[in-house]
Amino acid sequence: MMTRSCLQVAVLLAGMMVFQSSHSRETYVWSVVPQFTGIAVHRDWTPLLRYLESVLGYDFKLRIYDSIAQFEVGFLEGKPDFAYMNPYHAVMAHNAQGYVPLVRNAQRLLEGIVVVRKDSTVTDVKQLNGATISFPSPNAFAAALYMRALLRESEGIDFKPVYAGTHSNSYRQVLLGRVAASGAVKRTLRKEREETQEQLRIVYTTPAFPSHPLVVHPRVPEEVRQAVQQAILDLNKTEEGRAILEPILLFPASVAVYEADYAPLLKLNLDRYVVRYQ
Amino acid sequence: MTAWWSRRRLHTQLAFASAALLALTIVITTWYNIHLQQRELLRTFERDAQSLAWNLATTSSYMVVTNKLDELEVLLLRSVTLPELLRLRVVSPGGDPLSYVVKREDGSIRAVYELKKTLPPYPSNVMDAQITTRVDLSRLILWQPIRTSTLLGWIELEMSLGTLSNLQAQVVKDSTVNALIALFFDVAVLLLILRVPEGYFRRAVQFAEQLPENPGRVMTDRGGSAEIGELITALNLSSTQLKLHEDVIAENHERLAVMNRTLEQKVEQRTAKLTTALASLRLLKQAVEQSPSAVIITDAKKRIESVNPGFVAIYGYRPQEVIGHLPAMLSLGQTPEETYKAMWDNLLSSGFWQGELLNRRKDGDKLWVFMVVSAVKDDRGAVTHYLAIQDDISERKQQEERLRYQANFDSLTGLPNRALLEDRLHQALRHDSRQQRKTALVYLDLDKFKPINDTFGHHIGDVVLVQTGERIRKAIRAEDTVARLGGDEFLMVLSGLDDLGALDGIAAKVQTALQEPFLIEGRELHVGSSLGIAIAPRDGQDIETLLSNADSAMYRAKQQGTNRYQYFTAEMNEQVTWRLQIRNELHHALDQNQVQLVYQPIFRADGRSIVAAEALLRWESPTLGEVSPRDFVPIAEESGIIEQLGDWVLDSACSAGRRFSREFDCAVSVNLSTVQLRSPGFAEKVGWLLREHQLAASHLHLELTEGTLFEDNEQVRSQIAALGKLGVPLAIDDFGTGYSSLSYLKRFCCGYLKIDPCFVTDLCESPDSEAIVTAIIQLAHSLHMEVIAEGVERKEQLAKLVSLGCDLIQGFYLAPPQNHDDFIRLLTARSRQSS
Repeated sequence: MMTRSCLQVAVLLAGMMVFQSSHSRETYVWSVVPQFTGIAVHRDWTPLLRYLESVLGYDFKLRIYDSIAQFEVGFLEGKPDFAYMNPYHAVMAHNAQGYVPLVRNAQRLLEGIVVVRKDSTVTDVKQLNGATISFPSPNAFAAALYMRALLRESEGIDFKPVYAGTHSNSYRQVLLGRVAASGAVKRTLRKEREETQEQLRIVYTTPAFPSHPLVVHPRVPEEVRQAVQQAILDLNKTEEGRAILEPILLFPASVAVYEADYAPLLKLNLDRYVVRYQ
Repeated sequence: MTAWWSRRRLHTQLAFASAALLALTIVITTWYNIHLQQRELLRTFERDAQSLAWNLATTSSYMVVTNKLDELEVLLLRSVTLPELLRLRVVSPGGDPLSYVVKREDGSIRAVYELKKTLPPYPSNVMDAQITTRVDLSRLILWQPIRTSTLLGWIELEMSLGTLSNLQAQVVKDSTVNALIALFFDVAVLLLILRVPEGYFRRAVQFAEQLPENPGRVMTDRGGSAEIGELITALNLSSTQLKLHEDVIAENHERLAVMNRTLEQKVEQRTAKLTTALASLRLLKQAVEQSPSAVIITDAKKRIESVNPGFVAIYGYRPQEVIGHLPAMLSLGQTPEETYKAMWDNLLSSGFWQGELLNRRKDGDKLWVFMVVSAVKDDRGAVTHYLAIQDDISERKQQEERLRYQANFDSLTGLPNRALLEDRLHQALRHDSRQQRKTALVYLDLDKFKPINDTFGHHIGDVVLVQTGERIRKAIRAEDTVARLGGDEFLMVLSGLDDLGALDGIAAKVQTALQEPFLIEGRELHVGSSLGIAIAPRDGQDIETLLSNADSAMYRAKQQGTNRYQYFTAEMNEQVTWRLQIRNELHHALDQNQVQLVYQPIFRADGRSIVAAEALLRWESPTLGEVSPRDFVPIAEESGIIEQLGDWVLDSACSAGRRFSREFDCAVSVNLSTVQLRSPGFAEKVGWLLREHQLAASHLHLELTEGTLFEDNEQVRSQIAALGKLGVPLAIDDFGTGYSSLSYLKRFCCGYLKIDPCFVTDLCESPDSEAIVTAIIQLAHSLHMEVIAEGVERKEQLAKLVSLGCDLIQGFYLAPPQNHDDFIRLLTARSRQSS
């Protein structure tokens, strides 16, 4: 009789455990560099996360940062498990926390640009000497970090930088006459509204670099990393997948390798232009 | 307007007035309603706009403070999608733009990046209060401050009031529909109420209108209202009074009517009599007026009193031109005096005459009339008028004249025709026999006329005939007659001859006249003539004999060549008889197997081989004996028997030729008549015979004369060409006597030339003949033709021909013509020798 009762309790317990495990899955936090408004980031990335949840069986939570500065603090402290960031962020994240790149856009290369209002008298970037120039954030790689280095060292101009937080806001600082010019990248300009693009003119372009990678924190188990990587690469193959990848600028996706794609940035010696928020 | 209104019926007037009043009420109510609704709606709109602006100010304050212009733009872009919003603008307290979005007319939304300063148009002390302005009825602009503890900026909001005007339109529409429904019911009810009294009123009016016709009648209706009842009573009273008056008038009227009727009857009887008389007169007058005949009425002194339109139409005189004149003015003066005398005699004795007169029209033209004239007498028997009726018979007279001419004259030349000539000849014979004189009948036929007709056409030929007639008439004496028989044949009657020697002179004169060239349409044409002369009474005393004999003489003259004349002789008579006999007998020749073919061999010049045999026709008549082809072939051609005869010859020759060619490689040669070639299916017939007898085309030679080749006839040329296509070799017979034209030799691709026997006969004696034969042989060889010499009768002739290079020889010296069996034997013997 006793034995029988114990057996019943054990079965009940086991059942509960199974029930519990099936309902509390692993949750991973994602962050995205706030190049665009928080609403745009949420709109564009949610489909990917919902898709990965459905095929991989993990939960993914999107953490949205208001500004690039906050975002930087976040990944330097190792808060996100997965993060989409600019190339130099990838270098900083690698150095600080050991984040490694998983995938990046196979074709799209990162090109920094300087834009002015269409009706501006500025035609050469040198005319911006002494002007106020808006940037998304100090460490946005192509738009600000690399750009500031190039403007000061290669073009030899002096300017007053201000930071608008996002690329979109940076463009509007120019459009509404707050600043003379804005540093940005080509692909964010292409995502602006048509009339917004029409009112801006590119006066300077940097050399191209591999674009933003999706990086992963080393604490995430290897099989999860590989599953996520493969699932994203698989999206290349279908129309639906393409529709998911295109808005987040990851189509076509390819494997990103830290040493080959991003380690060379160290040689640019940009460290003294990095602004640290602690 | 007043007049129009007063003419309308009462119910129309009431309906109009009522409807107008109602419509005015509705318009005023609707306008007031709209006004109230508009005020209320505008208040609502303003409240909505203020609330929206306040919300936007609250939401955007954070973005303005943090300078998040991108998020501010997103907020405005979203908000402006509200249907009534037209644009949204955020500016700093100093008026600098922070964000600006507009909605375009097509509904699309755009962000605008202007740099110009914009501030609310109000004094600075109200700068932090909400301000609303209505630009016009359709737009509303609202300025809303953004503030926390201080003023951060302004929101400018523009809203469309379009919904308001839509609403207004809806209210107007609804009110209009309601108004129309109310108007309809208003008018309907009004008409319903007025229906009964109006009906009575209308009947009363009708009654009053009919009162004059129905006096004394009364209306029993009492009317639908007091006024109409009174009207009916008054009308009834009037009706009774009217009836009393009418009765008195009617009595008087009845009395007068009886008197009137009696008078009218008398007048009617009189009128009827007059009308009948008048109608009869009018009818007679019309008959005279419309008659196509000319009617002339004269008085007793024969002066014209009146004429009818028929007279005017026929004579061309107007009535006033003839009235008062004597009818003699119409005479042409060619009617014999006796006619007039007979007319007057008859008129005096019987009062009537009819006959034909030759008169003249006003324009002077001749006019034949048939006239009936009668004297008109009064009761006492004295002549008062003469009445003449004339019909124009000119056309009938002309037609008679034309018929008489056609019966006696040739229409082309205008010369007498055969009928008239016979008549003249008859008269001449009678006259001359009484006077012991002679009459000559000359038959003339033109030579070489047919080629002119064929080459230049009938119109040219006709001119030649006309001119020929004229020339002949000029050449003979005035008392002689020339007639055209038809075609190119003419006859002359020369009468009253004492001396026959004069005839030669006349004949020569005629021929000379016709030898002169005819110049027609720029061409110079030559004809000749052949004359045959028969003389009465020597050569016959009746017309038929003389004509026949003159014809025979002409035929003889023609045989002798062109431009000859010939007197008829007894010998000619015999020949005519002979030819007639041949013609008659020829009809039976084929049926009774009187004809046969004989074959004369044609040798190679070396005398060794027989290459062909010429099939020759022989006719042995039981009554005429053996008749030469020279005699009967022309007659067969004339009578058409040549076709049957030719078919028989071809058939027989092909049949025999089959054996010659199979057993001895010998061809058969057949002579063709031009007449045969003129028949359309001739070449086909030859083809059919070749197949029928299984004879190779190369073994049938066809001989044609130069004349046949020269025939200007498309039919003949096409048949010759068709024979050439069949592959039948052609030989030209009697070459050298005719035209000897080189062009046709080339054109028809002939295989052989046969030298005429006349050149062979004196070949050894005449250098001319030798020269001709030499030339013919050289010519033939140069055209790749072979030459056959015919009529070779002597050894020397053969030797000469061989030396000149002649290819083939035919003649009695080598072999005479022989019958089928003999010829086969000859061929057999020769083939044995050679083998």
